[in-house]
Amino acid sequence: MAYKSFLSLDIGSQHTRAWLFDNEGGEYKHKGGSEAQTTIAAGMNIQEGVWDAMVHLQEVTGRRLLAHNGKPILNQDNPNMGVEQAAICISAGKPIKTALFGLTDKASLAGLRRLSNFFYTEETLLLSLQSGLNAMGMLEELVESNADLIILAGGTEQGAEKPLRSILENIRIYYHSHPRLFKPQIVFVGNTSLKEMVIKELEAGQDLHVADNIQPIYDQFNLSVAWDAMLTAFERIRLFQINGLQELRQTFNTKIFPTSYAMGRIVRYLSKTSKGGKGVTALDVGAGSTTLAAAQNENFIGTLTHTPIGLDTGEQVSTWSSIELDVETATTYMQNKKLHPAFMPATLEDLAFEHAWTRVRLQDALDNTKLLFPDFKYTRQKGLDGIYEPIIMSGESLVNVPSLVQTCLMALDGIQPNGITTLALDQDQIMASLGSLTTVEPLMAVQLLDTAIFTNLGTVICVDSPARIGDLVLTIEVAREEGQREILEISKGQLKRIEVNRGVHIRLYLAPEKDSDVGMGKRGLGGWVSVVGAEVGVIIDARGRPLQLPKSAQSRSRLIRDWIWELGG
Amino acid sequence: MSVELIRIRSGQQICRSILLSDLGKILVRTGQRVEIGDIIAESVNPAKFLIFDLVNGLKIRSHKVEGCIERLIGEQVEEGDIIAQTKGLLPRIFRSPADGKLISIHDGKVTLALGEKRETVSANIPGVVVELISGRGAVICCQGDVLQGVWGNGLSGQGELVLLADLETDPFEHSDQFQALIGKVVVMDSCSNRARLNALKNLPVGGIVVGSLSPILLEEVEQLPVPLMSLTGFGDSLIDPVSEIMLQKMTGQEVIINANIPDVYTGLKPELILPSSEVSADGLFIDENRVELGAKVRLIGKPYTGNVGTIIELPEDPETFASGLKLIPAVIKRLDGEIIRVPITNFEVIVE
Repeated sequence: MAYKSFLSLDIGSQHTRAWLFDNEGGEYKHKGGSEAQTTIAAGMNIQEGVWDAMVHLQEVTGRRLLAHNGKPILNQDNPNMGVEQAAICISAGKPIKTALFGLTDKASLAGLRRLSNFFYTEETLLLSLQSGLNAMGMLEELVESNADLIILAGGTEQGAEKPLRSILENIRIYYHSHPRLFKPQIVFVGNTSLKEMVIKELEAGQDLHVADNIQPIYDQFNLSVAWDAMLTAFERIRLFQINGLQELRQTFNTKIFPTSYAMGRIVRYLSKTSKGGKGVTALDVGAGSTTLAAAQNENFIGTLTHTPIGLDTGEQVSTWSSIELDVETATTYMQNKKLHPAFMPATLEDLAFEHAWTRVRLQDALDNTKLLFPDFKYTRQKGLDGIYEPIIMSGESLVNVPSLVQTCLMALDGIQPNGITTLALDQDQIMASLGSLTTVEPLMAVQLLDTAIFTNLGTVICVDSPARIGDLVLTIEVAREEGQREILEISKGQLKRIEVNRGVHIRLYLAPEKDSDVGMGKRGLGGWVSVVGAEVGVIIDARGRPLQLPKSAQSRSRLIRDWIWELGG
Repeated sequence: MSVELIRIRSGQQICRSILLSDLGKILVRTGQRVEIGDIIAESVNPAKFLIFDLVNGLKIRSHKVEGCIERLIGEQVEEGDIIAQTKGLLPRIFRSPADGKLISIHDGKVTLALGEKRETVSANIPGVVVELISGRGAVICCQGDVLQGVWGNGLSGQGELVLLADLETDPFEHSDQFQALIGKVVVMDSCSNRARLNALKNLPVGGIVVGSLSPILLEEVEQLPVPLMSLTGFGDSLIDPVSEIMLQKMTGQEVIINANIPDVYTGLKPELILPSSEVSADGLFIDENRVELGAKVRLIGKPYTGNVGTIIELPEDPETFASGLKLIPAVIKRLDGEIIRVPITNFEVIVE
């Protein structure tokens, strides 16, 4: 196997991360990573942050990546110098102002919202033919929206052509007549028989991106057919908007992906390799938004959620805090964090805010996903269905913790999973970088994902039971490798940790009470579960769904502290 | 690592870009002197659109549409101008109902853009135009003192600066003193009192500067018709000592308050400006983006919010803080002489 090395760049709103991979010794390995401040503010060039990260990466890996003229060394098969190819993903940048046009509210617009949400968009206009506006009204709304991106769906296959024409005419006028810094990008994802007409009518050249119909049959969506068109539109908008990105693209001769999409690629790959038809989900709680990607079989769901900061959110945060605090104090913390996104909690009180807010953002991301994708197996009442394993966590608040037990607890409280699942952590925050490299060298992602690139936090066994608090809901027999056997009785409301050292295998026999469901397919049904050692081990969560928190703030914060204590955090 | 900068500077060259959100026409020239409120650039968009269906409106067949149209795309039209008419003794006519422009003839329909909706951008500092930015606006520079904050409600204004804390009596308790605040830019330590905020709004004052703002008042402040900026953010912290000195210097003078909404992408921050002719700066291009020994910093986060100090040590290895997190620290000597260790992410570098 010839020597190959790859660079992956992940440009976030706060940090630019650079990663080096190579196949020295036959298999692909992660050689090192580095981080620098993203340089995206006015008067800055995004390349500066990238070069800073690469300079640091040179120091970390001992490999020369930049030439004397400061340019990256590319197309090298030399183990000591340069890289063969690079991949770039980006989440930095203002939300893309987006206008969505569909024929009906329920079908077309709902599908378009699902499609656009994952690409860092902000809906500035949602219009369907049911909106009651005439053609002039629509045009005025479109001009007012000042959209950078227009996504147009056009009904089912072989559906009517006429309704689409008036919308097209308005888009054409907006595209050709409205003075803008850069031309809006138009994505057509409708009736494929109208493609030629759309191209002819709009006369938008490279600014028009035509895909297959995302809704070939009424109420049935296939968003993946539009991804290529969305990726090209996204890239062109960001190249216009972000100073230095065009040069970066030319230097590395590579496509620029949205970070969310890159993360989604890994989730989709993992779901394809998962056993027993289980799905995979990943949640990344970032500085500006929470990304959720979930895949099961061929179904993929991806969303970005911007949790609003206000007194309502402050109330939720104060509810989840392990330190008693009022709504105003919680809101103050969030507002200040918005002003200073790099701020890190230095006190226990700040850490309690941060962790409570992370729980709220996880819940909000799941709620938003449910709203956009009604088939998503989650409800606020019951939590996340047990079909997803593993659940991969990422993002600064989940990674930068005093103890990984706290990451587990934030995930359990925010997601409230059901049945038996595994929690994993993208501790190096490498998932998106790997995802964008899959387009350059798919084999590398496959090999690296097999090498435990994510930290295994542990196995979670959730018990659902109508029993009263304190009643026995589950008995567990723990069979360790060394022959020891241990019996544990779990009562309703309890959270219990079973430590299993890394590299050690144990077996658990779950014997639920007749009304208890442990995810074996039926209430009262138990069985053996094999568990491999992990950072936290096994967590038995018998607190029920939804989690019931005491009304009194004092009791509530004490209970949350008890849970942390129980897990050893 | 992220470096946050806050500018509290005297006698500096202050340059601000005044830009349209989209393309338009620049109305100033390089070297021109402008005052606050002077229009720098404008874009003119149609106030409304009219789409006229010639086939149905003039009762003609679609293949005859082209022959009826009397105007070209892009042509300006005036109210009453004939846009299209049928041939014959009694022609059916479509006239423009108002002044505007013919923007599209397509598929048997003509589209007129009628009326004008102007977006203008105005100078928010008095100064000289030093650079034109093609199709978007200009850079204006002046000399003076600048005091940046971290949050603003998006409005601008000006007026004489008054420090309420310096007044001998509480102006909210004395009607005469309170009336004297009309049109002035008032400075308060923190703002959590809704009644006082409303009283200042109704007076009205020319602007409000607060050390910090209660988030409970945020929705109201966002809708406030008076510019308001917060120097340290949200909560109940007082004005920091470095800002205090600058405010003392500005007191009694006519200042400009640009309570910009902070935006990391444009670099906008709210600011108070005191224009003057005195210049003591080293020039336009100062290397100010540094976390280094000797740098003056303002701390973020409890219990030190608003404290000011100097970096005296920058350890390379992370340390465990009270939160349990391992973070790269900076050792800061506060103005009161106390030495503290804070995460390197938890301060703003003061650019003086």
